[in-house]
Amino acid sequence: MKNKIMTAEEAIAGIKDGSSIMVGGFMACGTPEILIDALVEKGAKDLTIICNDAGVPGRGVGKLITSGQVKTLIASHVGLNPEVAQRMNTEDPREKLECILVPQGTLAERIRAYGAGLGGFLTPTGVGTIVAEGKQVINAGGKDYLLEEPLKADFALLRGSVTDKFGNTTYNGTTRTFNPMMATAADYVIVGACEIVEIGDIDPNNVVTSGIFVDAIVGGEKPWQI
Amino acid sequence: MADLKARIATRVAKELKDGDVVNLGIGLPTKVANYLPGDVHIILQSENGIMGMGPAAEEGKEDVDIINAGAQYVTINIGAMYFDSATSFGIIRGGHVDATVLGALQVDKHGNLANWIVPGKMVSGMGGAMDLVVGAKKVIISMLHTQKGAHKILDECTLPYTAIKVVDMIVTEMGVMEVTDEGIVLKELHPDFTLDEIKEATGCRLIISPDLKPMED
Repeated sequence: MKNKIMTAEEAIAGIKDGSSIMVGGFMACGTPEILIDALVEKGAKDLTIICNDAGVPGRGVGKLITSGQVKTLIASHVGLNPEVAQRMNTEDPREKLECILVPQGTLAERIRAYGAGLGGFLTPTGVGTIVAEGKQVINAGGKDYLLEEPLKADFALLRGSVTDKFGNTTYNGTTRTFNPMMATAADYVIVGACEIVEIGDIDPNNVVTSGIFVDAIVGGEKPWQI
Repeated sequence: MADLKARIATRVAKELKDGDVVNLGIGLPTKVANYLPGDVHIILQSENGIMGMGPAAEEGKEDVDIINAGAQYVTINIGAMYFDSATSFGIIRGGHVDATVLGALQVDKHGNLANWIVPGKMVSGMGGAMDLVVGAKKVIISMLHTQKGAHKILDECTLPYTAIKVVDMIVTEMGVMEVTDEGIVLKELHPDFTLDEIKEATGCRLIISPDLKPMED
């Protein structure tokens, strides 16, 4: 069987300027910090980052905002990272950050939809608001819905609590969040694992993400303080 | 100020029934859990993936893998479950949350809600609020009646909507209001205020309920 275990540097080798990257976690809880650190080190620019939020300065996606590597951020909430507003409002085009805000449930479902082979879905969320601008409103069963499209990325950076050498992964506590959907919606999926175990060590009843979705496994992750 | 917020939280807590699945917003709404009557046990849903959330974690005993949607370390109750964000918002949009309690910048007589963005001010994002107010069976707004005297309860919201026609009830330090097809009905008035005072603090017509009651602390 193909060896999926590698260093962070090897795992992210394919990420280029302009790549789109999904990052798991919620306020950096469940975000693979060692993969983010490797990406900061590598310095790839003009990235599109898809994540629930912007983390906080110094944690999670916040590190990529600080390093100026993000061109477009697709997220539901950026309020706990003041640097996002600063960079959205700057006049300097090299520093300028475009931020696309998506309701949290819609963001999760758009990612799930891509991974599940759906062409989109109808949601009542956002009807009558600025979220509806430019979107098709479809009336079904007497109720208005927005047509939301699936969302994919070139890469996904995920945080696993326990991962076996095939890539089967479990997520502890509230680290699960967007990780399982992102595993299904990116071309190349990297799991930063807190613990790597032998195949068969994880009870199949407890596997959340199947190893079939995982391309690379990087050890050395841990539960980080926010 | 602190006791006004306690008053609001106490009154909101009375709306929750034993066994209700409830999502509490950040800030004042979070306090509602502290004022539940002893015989009422609710199941707290946290949109980042908990059903059965417990109180905040004690200092020194935090599990850094367990946070609430406001990024605070929390505990879980016996019988709790974790899930991913797609499942979480399936629970929310699917109508499986009995009540959500949120703050507001503005609410209008149609039940339209604005609580996520002020044009020209720092953008923070809607997070899960748009899904919550559309999906929860009952939407309770808990807030101070005015913003330093400026009306927050209006004929029409002037700020961008979070959602349209979603608010069921508004609880402030002045009273308790229900949103109906006819407009906003004042059901309870706090004894600290007169009818004229609450009408003056409200930017739309208040329909006075025929069985208006005093709001209790």
